Amino acid sequence: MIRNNDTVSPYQIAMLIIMSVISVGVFSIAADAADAAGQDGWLAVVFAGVLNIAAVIILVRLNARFPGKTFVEYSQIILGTIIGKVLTCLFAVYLLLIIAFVTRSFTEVVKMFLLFRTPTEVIMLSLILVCTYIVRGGVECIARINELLFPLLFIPFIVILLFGFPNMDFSNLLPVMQTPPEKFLTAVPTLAFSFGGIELALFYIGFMREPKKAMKPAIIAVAFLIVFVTAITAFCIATFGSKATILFIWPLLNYIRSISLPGLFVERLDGVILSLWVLTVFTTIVSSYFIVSYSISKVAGTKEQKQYVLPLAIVIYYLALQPDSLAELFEWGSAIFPYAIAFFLYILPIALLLVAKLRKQGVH
Amino acid sequence: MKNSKHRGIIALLVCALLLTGCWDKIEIEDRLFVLAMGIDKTKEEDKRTPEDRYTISFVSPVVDMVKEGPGPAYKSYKTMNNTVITSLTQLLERFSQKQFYGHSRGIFFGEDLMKDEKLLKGVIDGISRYHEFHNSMYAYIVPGTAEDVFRVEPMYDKLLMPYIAGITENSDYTTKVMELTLSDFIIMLTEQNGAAVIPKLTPSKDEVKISGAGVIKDFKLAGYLGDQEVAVYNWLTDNAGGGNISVEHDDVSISFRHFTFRRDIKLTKVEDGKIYINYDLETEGSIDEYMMGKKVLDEAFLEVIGRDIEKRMIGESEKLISKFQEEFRVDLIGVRDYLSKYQPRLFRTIEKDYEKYFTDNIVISVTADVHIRRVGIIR
Amino acid sequence: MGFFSSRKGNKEKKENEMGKLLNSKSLEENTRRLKERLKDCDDIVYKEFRVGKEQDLEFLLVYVDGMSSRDLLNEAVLNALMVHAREVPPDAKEPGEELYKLVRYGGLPASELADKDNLEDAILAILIGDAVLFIDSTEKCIIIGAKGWPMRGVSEPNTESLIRGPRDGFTETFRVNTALVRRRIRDHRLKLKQLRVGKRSFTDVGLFYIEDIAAPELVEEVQRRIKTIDIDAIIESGYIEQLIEDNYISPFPQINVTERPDEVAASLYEGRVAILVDNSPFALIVPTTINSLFQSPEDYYDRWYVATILRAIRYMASIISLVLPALYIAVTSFHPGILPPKLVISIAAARQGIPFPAIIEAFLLEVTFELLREAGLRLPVPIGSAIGIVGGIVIGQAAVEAGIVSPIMVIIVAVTAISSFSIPNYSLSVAFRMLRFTLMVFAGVLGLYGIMLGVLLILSHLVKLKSFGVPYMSPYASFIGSDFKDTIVRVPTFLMGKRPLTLARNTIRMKNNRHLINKLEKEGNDDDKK
Repeated sequence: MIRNNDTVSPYQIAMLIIMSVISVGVFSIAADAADAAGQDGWLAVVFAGVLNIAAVIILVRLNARFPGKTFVEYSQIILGTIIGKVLTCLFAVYLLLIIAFVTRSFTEVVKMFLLFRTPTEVIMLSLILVCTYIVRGGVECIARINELLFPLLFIPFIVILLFGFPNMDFSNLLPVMQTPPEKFLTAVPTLAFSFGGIELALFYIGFMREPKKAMKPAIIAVAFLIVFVTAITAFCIATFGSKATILFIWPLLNYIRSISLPGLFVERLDGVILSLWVLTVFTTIVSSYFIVSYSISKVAGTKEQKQYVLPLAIVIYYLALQPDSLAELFEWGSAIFPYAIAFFLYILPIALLLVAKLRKQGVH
Repeated sequence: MKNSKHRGIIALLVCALLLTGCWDKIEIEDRLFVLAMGIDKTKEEDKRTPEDRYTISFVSPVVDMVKEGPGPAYKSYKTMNNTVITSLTQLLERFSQKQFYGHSRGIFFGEDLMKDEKLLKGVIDGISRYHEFHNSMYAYIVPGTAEDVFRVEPMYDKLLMPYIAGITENSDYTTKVMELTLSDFIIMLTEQNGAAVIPKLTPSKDEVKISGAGVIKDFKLAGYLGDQEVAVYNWLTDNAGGGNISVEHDDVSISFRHFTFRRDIKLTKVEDGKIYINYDLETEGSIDEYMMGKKVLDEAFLEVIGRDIEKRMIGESEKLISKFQEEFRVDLIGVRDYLSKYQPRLFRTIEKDYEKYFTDNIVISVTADVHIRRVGIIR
Repeated sequence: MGFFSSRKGNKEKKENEMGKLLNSKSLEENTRRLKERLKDCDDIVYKEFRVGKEQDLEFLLVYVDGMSSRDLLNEAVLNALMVHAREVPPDAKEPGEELYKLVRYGGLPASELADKDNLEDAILAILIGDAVLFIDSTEKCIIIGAKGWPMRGVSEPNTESLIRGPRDGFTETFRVNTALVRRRIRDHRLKLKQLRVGKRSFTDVGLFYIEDIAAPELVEEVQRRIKTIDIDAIIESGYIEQLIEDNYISPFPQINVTERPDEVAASLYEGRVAILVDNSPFALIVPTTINSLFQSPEDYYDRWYVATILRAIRYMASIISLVLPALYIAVTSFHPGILPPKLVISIAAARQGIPFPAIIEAFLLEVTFELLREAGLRLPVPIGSAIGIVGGIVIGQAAVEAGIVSPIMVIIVAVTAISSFSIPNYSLSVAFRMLRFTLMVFAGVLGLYGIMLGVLLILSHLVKLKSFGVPYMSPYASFIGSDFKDTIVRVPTFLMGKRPLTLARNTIRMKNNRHLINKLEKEGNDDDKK
């Protein structure tokens, strides 16, 4: 009855993965995909997604070897205390950058569409503080809020997406597979990185009672993501055509703005979708934020993670204010994240799993 | 203790945030809703500075008068400026209210503006870049100046823009009205490298007429399509719904009303570097009017009429196709779209110099298929 | 510090000594002691009487006037001892032990008797409403259960009226209430643990639970929390509620309060624990989740379509009552682009000439409405309805015509008010009302974004909140598939075969009998054909 505060259920793992991946990226992915592979962009997204299923299988395998332990603990077991701690710190820094990036790009969007004169600082700080409140609640609260927000986000989101059907012309997706293969293949890795966020499972699976049970929900989560992101990409390209999709910074936003519902209370949906955007950003920030404070407390050897949360808010705020403009922000993003995600999502788990297997560490 | 201290700090911060102000609050009555915009090229003699390239006119409702009071409930005003978006802020120098463009339902381009490539590109870029405009507003070309549209006082409607939008939405019932949203216009310009067809709106004293269309090539107005040509254009681009086709029979017009219209494009053959393409038009509807005393509900008779209608459709379509091929020399009837989507290999070979290829080496034939399903309620 | 603690210690010591105050053998001495302790308690009746052939056996009956049933005392004590003793004189040679036994086991035709040799206990019994019989020459006294004060009859609960369902509600009398519950659960596994809480009020507090359904940890925890209460008096169950709830800062009620015995019984069957408090017609039910606050007993009595639709309406009502004014502020002052042009124009026309910004307008009207509601609640019913008329005219007509508020704002406030009344739980609707004002501030500063942040903050809080170890948002945010049968949707009753897994231990509740019924029906049809 009075349950342990530190467990995450398999269902919650799926929610965590989905909600961490869906963030500002979904609004721009159609442009990236169309830019890289033209009308085949949606296929490139499918391929990229399949790559991530492989990644997530490795993640779960790795975690299953060390039940009850998160990345902080088993990286120290596998590679030794010092290297483990350094890796954890790197991970935390990377997550801080992600949070800062998401916060900042979200703030820019809010400033552009909703609040023009409100100072950037206010928009940002209010968001970070709201996140701080839930992060202090611990892993169980993080898992639960993700679980709760999943239907609240996706049901309206999908309904709104379907309202756009009359504007779509699926012949815009033709011809299929006519992109030159070399161009197509170079598109796949760049798109694979827009699934960044899955690597958080390195930690969250560790909070499960039986990490082995994470396999099914994790794969389902990634499959759901593939379907969702592919649908978004396909819808955008079908609506605008691949050439016009590239015009927009956030094609999904334009897609939703092009929907009008005459005769209802709400005619334009952009305000609604931006409110939903807050949800996606919130969950992404919260899931990463907790891991940062958790890893710091583990590395420092303290019991509670609470005390680090508020000071971290200041760090995030400072980092998020660094880029000068949206262009600079995007440049920073593309300079850091693909490499970081490649390292933490693909290279590191594979390396750790291999070493653990060779050294025969953990449970088989 | 520590916990409550933290809570205190957070509460203080939140309060500080909340109490410092409502930066973006603009009460709804302090806004001036711009329902439509007209953009013209400034005439040389009106220019105050050489940069005053655009004359922009706006129309806004007088909200009190919408429900009560006689006469039209809107006012129009205009300004001159070097870019469209700058002019929006310029209005703040003259109005106590803040203009709001989120409800703009129409944008009117003056003829002169359309003839100037640079100006048109500027306008399109500005409007698609500015967040407040919705791309689902309707776009029109106005012969003369766009400003003239706002002088119209419609007979039955209190507001101008809902009146014009209403006419545009009638396109479901008549093929002669063409519907084009700004977003479709921009997409068409992007996909066709600066070519598009945009409906023509002609203002008069107490009404406007949407008929005919402007053809744009390389971001420049290349010419106009007539009333009937717009209908045919709608057939060929598969945008037709309901409408009328009439044929002469015994010196009397027979009116055929169609409710659905379908177009199929097929590649028939490739020969000697020429591409043969067939447009198949298929429609169904009813005979509305012929002559008292004649029996219409008659298989043989209907077949004859059907063939006449088919002939007429084919003739008009071919005329318009050759107009595009020979006069405008631009492919706005969907051949490129078809080839690139369904014949990608073939298209790749001709992609480079497509415009030239279209005029010289693509041969288009038209077939039609008319089903007269009903004849009304008398025989 | 030391000084205080030593004084406190002395005081306790003194009380203990007095607690051991034993009865004396002499009735005279007992009477003197009693009168000393109960000095200036003028509602206490001392009835001295003598029995026996020679009128030599002395008795003393003590009770509080008005709290004990005089009929019962007359019949079972005075009549029995004074009249019948004359006919069949007590066969006791001498007063003392023997007489005592005779009276205790033979003389008193009352159903509830107990012995006490402690004066302090005897006094407590008197004050609770029992009568105490002292007999000369014995150290023991007899406590006669004669509680019988004027009480309200069982009547229909005012705060939770139903169209369909039992009409009985709890009263202020503990024993009546426990009986109402027991009548619905005739199972020996229904346990009632009684505690006395309040150092001066000695209020009866009863803990109901079904032994093999409720989790023992839960029962343990509830008991522990109630036992730690150290207060002089419990006037109402609200005292207990506030003293044992998990989070005192939260605006949300973490304990469900009900006047309906059927709801208590149903909760017990789900594995919850009910707390009944004397002098209060409100029972407490723990643990409580937000889902259970949206349920009404009627949901289970009506058919499932009806229940599901009503639940959906309630959830919708709660959302409306939470965000509607805030949305109005956000949309009119920040994002008019969301609304269709025609609506925007009519709102703008309605707001022409109104001197206040939307947020002040909204606050004005909302506060006026809250005032009206509170005033109407406190006044006697006939005047209360007058308040409604005044409010309707003042807000609906005069304020609009004077151009202080816009008619659309009046509509918004009215819809909000109606919505907040459709939430079945009163405390929950109060919580939503409070949060509504917070959200209005958020919306006034940051528009839609502010509302979203506010809503996220509320959701975060709800997710953090626990009621006696059960997540407040379960089963929405601790996903257990089978518990979803009784949330926004209420599935047909034959599918509700399991108790909520978050709470109960013994989860199977019934076997699905639908296929059996279908089979019988089919056989019946076959017979008809023959």
